[in-house]
Amino acid sequence: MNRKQIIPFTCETFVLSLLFVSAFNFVLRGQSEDLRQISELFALCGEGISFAALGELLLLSFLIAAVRYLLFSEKRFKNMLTQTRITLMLMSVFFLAGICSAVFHWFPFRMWQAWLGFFLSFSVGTAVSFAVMTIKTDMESKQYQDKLDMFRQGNHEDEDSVKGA
Amino acid sequence: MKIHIIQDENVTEPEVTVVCREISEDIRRLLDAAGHKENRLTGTMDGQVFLLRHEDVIYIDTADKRMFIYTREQVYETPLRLYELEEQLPQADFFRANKSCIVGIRHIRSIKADIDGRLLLTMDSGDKLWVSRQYAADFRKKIGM
Repeated sequence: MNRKQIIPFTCETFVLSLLFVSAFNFVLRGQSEDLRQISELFALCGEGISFAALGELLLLSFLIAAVRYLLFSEKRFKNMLTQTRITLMLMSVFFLAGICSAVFHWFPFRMWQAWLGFFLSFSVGTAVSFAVMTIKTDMESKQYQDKLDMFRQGNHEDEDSVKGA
Repeated sequence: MKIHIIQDENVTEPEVTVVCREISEDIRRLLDAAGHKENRLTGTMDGQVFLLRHEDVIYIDTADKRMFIYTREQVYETPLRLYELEEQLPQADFFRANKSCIVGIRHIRSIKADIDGRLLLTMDSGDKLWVSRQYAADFRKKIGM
């Protein structure tokens, strides 16, 4: 990823976040008064997204794009595995979204059930995907290592037979 | 370039002596050609030319458009291009890992597969090298996968 890609990726993330918030607004429009109490993102009672919320989402999108640039730049983390980058990326998104939620009142901080749901869904999702990724790549790595050992063994046998001859 | 050939029945091993003001690229290529049949590459270090056995070469990598041969103890420079080195090295023991690197399979200590199809190699020297997706298929074929 190069520096020029930060702006397109910011736009991409911004559009995605708008789609999500709009979808929530649409689905939950019947409970708009309750939503207004809970989150600043739904301040217009399901009628749209406020300019303030747009700016906040844009800021979050930019921060996520910057982290992605940092983590996926080959110059900075040349030898980092993609799965490690993805894990760090997910953790960064979680962290940044948490900070934005606290600062911009997107999340009902005093409602422990909401926190629990947020943590559970995020950690279970991350843990499952990470476990699948790790199992898959570990199996592949083992296969490679076995074949490499066999290759080396074969080579040594060849060398020994040449020496013996 | 003057070439003198002295035939002597008492000589057991052919010997080449190069007398020159400086080691030009032509001379290096000549040495490489001589070393090729002997399973050797030539590498320069501190102005001196060394003959390197193929089995001692851990990997060859490009940095700042210059080519370097990595052995366990030293790093040597070579004027040859990557494709020329690839032709000189035994295909069964070496493979192209990415656009800038040739790796000696015998010197790979461990392999870690990545989810995007690339492979991270840890060499005997401890150096880490990536095999790009493009060249991973060739590597798999060579190790019989």
